[in-house]
Amino acid sequence: MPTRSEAEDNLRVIRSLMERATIYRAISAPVALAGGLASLIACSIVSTGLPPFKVDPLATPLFFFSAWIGVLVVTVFINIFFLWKESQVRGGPFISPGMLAAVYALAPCWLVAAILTAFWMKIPWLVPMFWMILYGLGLLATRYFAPHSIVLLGWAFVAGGLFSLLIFMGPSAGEPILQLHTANLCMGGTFGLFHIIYAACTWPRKSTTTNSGGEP
Amino acid sequence: MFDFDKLDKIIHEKGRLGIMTLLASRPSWAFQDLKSELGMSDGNLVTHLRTLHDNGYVSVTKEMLDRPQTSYALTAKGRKSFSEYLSVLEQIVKTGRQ
Repeated sequence: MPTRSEAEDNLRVIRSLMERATIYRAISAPVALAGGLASLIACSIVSTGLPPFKVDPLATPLFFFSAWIGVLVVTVFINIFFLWKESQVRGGPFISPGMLAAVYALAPCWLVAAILTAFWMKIPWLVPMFWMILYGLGLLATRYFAPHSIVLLGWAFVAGGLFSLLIFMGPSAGEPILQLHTANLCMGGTFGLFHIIYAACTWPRKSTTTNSGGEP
Repeated sequence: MFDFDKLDKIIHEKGRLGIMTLLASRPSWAFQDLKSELGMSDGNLVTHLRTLHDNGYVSVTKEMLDRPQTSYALTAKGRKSFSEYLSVLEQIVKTGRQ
């Protein structure tokens, strides 16, 4: 006859397995690496292109947003490609229940970020701070089914965004164009370096398991 | 008094309990995924899956993708039995508290 503690043990095993089975990684290591590199490239392009270097000061916001939205589009396409490739290897559907859960969790933050971007284009230096914070909050919204590394990345972005916001709200924020240069560096530091560090920490290690052909 | 004989002995074994739990969490599982998630040997996993299949708890699908792939899913009977098994465990925990 099973005891109460045995029954509790079994329920714990069931719960832990259920949680592990529903884990979904919305950002894989290769995608993070690609996104991180694209961000660093965009950061350097924007840094050298902004006034007083090349771009007309009047066209500055458009130049800034084009570069960073370009990074977003490229990274999203790379992510879609890797998720599709993974679904092929797994033999499952591309739009998996895990993917749907991740999209539902991320959607509110992404929607707010898109609306803020549209409304605050005239103060371009302020928008990146909210991109960082909302991106971090979006990642944290996936915490119930995401691996721990994604949660840490989410907190890093929230902290980075809040820290940047403090710099810009402070008395030594400087001229708008200087602020935009600083905002660009913050973008490179967070979306670039954070993603590269995440990729380095989560890069798949070579498995030692061998297939002994024991499938029934 | 609670009737402990209601506990499904097929599911109650630790290895099979793990398999049934994973199968209850997704529509289907490939053999290799089950193996890596549970950390079982091929032979052990095959034996447990065969027991569950013979009792009508698990269905088997063999597909030819890039390579042959065998996937497993819970049958309606398996899902019902697993749900009943969970209820029995909860009853045992409740009974123990009283």
